Amino acid sequence: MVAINRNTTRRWNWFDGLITAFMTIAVIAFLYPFWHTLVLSFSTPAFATSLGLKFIPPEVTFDAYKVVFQTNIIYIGYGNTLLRTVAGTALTIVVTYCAAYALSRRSLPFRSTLTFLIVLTMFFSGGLIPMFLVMKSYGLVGTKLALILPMLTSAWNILIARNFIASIGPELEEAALVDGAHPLKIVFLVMFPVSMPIIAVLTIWTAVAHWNAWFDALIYTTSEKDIVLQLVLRRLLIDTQTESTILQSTVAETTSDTIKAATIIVSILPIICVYPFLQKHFAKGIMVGSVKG
Amino acid sequence: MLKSRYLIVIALCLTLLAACSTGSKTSEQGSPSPSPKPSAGASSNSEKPADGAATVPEKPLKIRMVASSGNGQAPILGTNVQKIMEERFNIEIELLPVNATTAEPYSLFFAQGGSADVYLTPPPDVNKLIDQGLFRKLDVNQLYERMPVWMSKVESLVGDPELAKKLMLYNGELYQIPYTHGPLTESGLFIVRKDWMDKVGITQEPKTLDEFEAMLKAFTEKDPDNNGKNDTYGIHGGQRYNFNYLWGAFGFIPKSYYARDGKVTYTSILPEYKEALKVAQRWYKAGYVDPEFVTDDRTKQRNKWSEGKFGVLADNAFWMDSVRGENGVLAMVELKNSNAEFLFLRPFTGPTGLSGSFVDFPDVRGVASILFGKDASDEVVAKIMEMKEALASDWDLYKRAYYGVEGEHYTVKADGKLEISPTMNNDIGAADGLITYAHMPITLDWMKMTMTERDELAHKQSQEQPTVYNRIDFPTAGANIALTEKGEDILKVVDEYYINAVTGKVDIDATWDAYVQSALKAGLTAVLAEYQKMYENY
Repeated sequence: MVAINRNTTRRWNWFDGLITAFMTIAVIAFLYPFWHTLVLSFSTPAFATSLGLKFIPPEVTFDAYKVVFQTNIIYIGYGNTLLRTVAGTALTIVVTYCAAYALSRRSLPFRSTLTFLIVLTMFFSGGLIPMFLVMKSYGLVGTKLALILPMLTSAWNILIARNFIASIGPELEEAALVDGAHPLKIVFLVMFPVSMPIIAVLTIWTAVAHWNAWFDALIYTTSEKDIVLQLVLRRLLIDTQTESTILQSTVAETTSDTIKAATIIVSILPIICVYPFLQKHFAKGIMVGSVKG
Repeated sequence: MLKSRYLIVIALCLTLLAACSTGSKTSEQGSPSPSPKPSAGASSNSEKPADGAATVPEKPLKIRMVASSGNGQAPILGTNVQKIMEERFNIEIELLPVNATTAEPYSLFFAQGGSADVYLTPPPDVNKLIDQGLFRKLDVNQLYERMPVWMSKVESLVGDPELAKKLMLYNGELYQIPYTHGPLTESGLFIVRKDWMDKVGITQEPKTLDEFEAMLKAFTEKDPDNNGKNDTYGIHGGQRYNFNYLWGAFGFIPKSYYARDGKVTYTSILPEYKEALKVAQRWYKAGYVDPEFVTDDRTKQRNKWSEGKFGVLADNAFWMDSVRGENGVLAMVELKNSNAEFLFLRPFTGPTGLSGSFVDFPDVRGVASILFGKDASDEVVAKIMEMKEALASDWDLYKRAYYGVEGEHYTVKADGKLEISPTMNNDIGAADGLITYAHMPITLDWMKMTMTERDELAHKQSQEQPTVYNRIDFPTAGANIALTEKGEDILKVVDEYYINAVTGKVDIDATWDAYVQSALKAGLTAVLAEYQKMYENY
């Protein structure tokens, strides 16, 4: 048993107090907008339009949520966003990992050429119209695949994963080879489980990117059935702002603040709940990929 | 090392070749789906049997359309309203899957070579696309012949038939069926808390600037909300309509280009603006204006209004309608204060006897003004004109195409007016095909079918009271290039001076000349010169 040395506990001084006070203020400043939106979503219209900071609503009502869950569009948006997040992330991990593994093997022919070409794509991009023309020529415009396929690989992700895999010692792979494993088995049954930190990082980044993506949905989807959650939000919050768009209809729908707040909460709640639990993998994994052995 | 360099060059060349070949394939494809020339099909459709009576039903005319839907997505195919239109006008509508409501997808449609016969709403930067020859010309005489009711409504909304004729042309030619509607041509309104007027002892509606100022003073100082605290203002002073009637009392709206005595001038450098600024500054210094008017957004302004923090709201009749529900600016006050009463103030007269309310200079080439593809046939143009004229003259058709089905989307009240169902929303409407085909220049006679008496009063007053134009007050043929380049710089100078002047940070008399000079130097001279040329040549 190790004796606990009580002298290692540092006493609090004024500097600690200052930092604590500053961080408390910062935390409140960061958290208040979320809290405000949450309160707004549960309050009556009268309280929502009142002035001053809102901490506790005097009367809790679920009317705004009732309206939000009654409209079909929120379910369609959720469904499509979940689909693209799950399917898109899974596919992206597989494709990125395969590319990263291949590039990490020194015995790969033309390894430096391929790496250079991939890095080149990080610096140059065709722009919006060439991208759209390419998607159109593949027949992807108007389909859900247009939301998943373009995001399958990112040069940055491939490089980070490659560096991580390269830092895993060759002993594991050699041992598997000696035992007579097929290359595919080596990749997916031996290397993949060992690369969990970088997989976690890629999963989080890709999942959040898919969850938040709206511009690709705006230009590639044409039907109401393919709408994503962020587009629903955008329509609700932004499209109703300008005077000229509103004045187009004599019976235009105008959304109250409580319904806007409820829609925001419904849209961000899943990510907010999931993200903190993946935080520890995130912190560990991001640095591991960048350190060369 | 050398080997890999060669390989890189070869790889890059291959990539370029791939891109080029994809490019040629796309240019061959052109529009989203192959379109047979409409005129070829149409000419056989319009052939009638020699005896005049059609014994064989004509084949419906195929029309490829781009339209916007009421819910911000691409319009839905095969809706009930689409079928009604097809049956009534003997057409076959092919709706292209383009989201014409949002700028980016609509622009992309043209960028990748798309085309249609009819565009029920114009794309962004329509002038540039017209210059590129994407749309066909229309005949002005045919327009008036085929759409008399539509044109008479447009003329009544614009207010001047000659002006309407000038406004619908681009570079002297007609490309678009002109469109505007009631809400866009109504001037702003000052809504005054009548219960406050009663409390402070004002029995007469203020008719002059001085009487209005006296009312603001009473609202600020005499505790009109009876809560024992000195916490009320006369007017908010911010947002789009800010001091509205004050400017009108001097005969202009700020930041606008007016033609006076043959010369184009900018209202924010006129001596009248200087006098009006002095009045506003006086009001601010006396405490009649909410000091946060500079930074408050519309939500904040309306929250304060609903809480009874100021007595005069400058807004638009659109926001007073009962269909806005609790978001309506009158309903939001009544929700918290059942004793609230409102007066729609008329524009008061200024020191020289002028009066007027803010209204945008009419634009008949904006949203819902219809364009035709350069290959559209005369039959297609005639059919669309027929369809739109029917919507403008047949109340039952318009009612079905815009408001929906009785009993499902709305109910009819005892007085014949329509009450929109509370569960109705844009998505339900889009699924039925509402609004998509139905845009027509609606005037008060049809608008009031969904309005309460109070709504009607507000709209009627907005349409009939004296006005002053915002932005510009003469028609122009094209766009002012100097304005697009220097507009932001000029506005920076003007807005900064406006805020400093009203809040009392600068002495208006002492700094006026320097301000005018800096505005002119920021680019105003060039903009005025170009507008002068455009005004003289039109």
